[in-house]
Amino acid sequence: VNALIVDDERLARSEMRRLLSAHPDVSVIGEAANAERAEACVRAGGVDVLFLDIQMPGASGFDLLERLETLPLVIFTTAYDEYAVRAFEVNAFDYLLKPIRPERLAAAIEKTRQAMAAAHTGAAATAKRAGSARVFLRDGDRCWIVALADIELFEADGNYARAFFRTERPMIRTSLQMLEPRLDPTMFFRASRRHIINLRHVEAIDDGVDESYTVRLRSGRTVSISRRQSRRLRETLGL
Amino acid sequence: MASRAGGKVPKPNSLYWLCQAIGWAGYLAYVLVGYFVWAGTRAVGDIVSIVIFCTFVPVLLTHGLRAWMYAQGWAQLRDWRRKIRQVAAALILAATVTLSVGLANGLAHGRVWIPTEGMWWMFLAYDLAFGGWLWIYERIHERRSRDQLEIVAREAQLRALRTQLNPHFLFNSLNSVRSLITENPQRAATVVTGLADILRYSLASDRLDTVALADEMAIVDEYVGLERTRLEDRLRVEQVVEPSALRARVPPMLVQTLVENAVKHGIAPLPRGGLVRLEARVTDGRVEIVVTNPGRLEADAGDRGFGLRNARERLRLMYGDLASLTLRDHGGQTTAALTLPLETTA
Repeated sequence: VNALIVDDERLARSEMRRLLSAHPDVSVIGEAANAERAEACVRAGGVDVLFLDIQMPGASGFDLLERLETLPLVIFTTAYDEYAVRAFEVNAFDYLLKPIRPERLAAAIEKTRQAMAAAHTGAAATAKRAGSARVFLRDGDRCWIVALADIELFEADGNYARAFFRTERPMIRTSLQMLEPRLDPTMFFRASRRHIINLRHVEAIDDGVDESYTVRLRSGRTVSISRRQSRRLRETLGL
Repeated sequence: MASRAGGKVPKPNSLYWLCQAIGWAGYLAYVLVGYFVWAGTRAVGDIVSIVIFCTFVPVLLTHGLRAWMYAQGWAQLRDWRRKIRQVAAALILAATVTLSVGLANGLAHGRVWIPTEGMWWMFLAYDLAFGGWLWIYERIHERRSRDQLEIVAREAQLRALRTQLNPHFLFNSLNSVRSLITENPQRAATVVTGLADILRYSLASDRLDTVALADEMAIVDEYVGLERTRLEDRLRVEQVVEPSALRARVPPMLVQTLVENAVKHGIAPLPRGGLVRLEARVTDGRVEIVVTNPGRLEADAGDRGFGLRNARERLRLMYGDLASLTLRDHGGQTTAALTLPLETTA
């Protein structure tokens, strides 16, 4: 397990390093004192898990995650941050409160091992790997790390978009136009000006009037597909 | 405040006696005017009895009524129950006076009872006078208990506004200590002591209205020392404090809050850190404390806005308009300026 420690305080970083030295299979491949350095390290590749402080000079830990298209596993570390802790608790993020309890760290690392093992056994199919890619979404005080495969629908909302997954529907600060090229085309399909759907969540396709389709998703939501895109959908699915 | 049923009768205050005097003097004047305008006869005896029955008798009766109200705990009664008792009390007292006037008149003429002329009018006038007395008494009481409630609320507010130590700082410091224990045990020991001092001061500040600036500065120094453990050479501090300002009384934890804000919003966001400047001086009857840090204001509205509103509210409750706290940015520097009326330690 290759770990990157991101914290602006030197003492906090060295404490984290010391705590991690008790786990021989975790190797700390780097330390970063700010989000910019951390971003560069992650993009260089090889980082399996981030130990990430939220409050840092300049860009925060959340800002860092928003900049990354695909995320390594993330374990948040924070001393005291009411808002962040609330976000963590609601969305079951892995987080450690500083000073960190070694047992809690051990539990978090164990979860990381399991997540990595699961990703490896499933790695046979490339599509599956793409599906396990995760993104960080933030809407006001609330945030989520969610697998792209779990997002059933993006819907335009003004200049921004809403992501629909499980029972959540956060507003994300990006437009469908910006979003579309970043998504895997074998998974996501531009249904109309207002919608991008996840093909894995399609339950049924109903014929509509004049050769346009209505798609019913597993959640029960229906999305109508523009005439032009209906033709493309037929081609994509080989109907 | 309000006494319980069967409770003690509080000593009346000067407002009570003033109202009694003015109220019944007014009533006396009204009756005398009526007597001179309408009565067919003029007699010294009439005037004496008017004075007695319009001043001494009603003052005595209402004073007794007041004691009775407390003894029976009227203040605790529900609204309509109290109103019924008030109406009854006014009627009974009015009847008592009217009958005793008749009785006195009779005794004066060697008989038991002579119904006075216009007895029913007299009864009505007394009823209105006693009713009015009760009404005014209750209004003043309502007002007073509302004022007392306000004082209690104000104290609670002040207590809530007391700035506690920022938990983020506390836990980060504890984490630093944990790291120092292996890295530099000597330093860890120093930091723990400093942390203990700050915690003790912060807890004690709950019980103190003001402290000498010298005491506050000692804690600010401890705080800066601890922040330097975390931020290392990113934090630099410069102090210019006039010796005469050190004796000025300031609300506890207030200067500390300003410095903490300066570090949190001015230094922590800068990867390379910066300089916090603290100045304190005395100028014509005021003590001025100015904290300057790099950075502009707009960038940090939320959290700091709250801490500042809190501090301002605290100043307003303690000093009214005599204290001020302003925040400005100028040339890439943010300045917090605190002005307090000068009170010094003896």
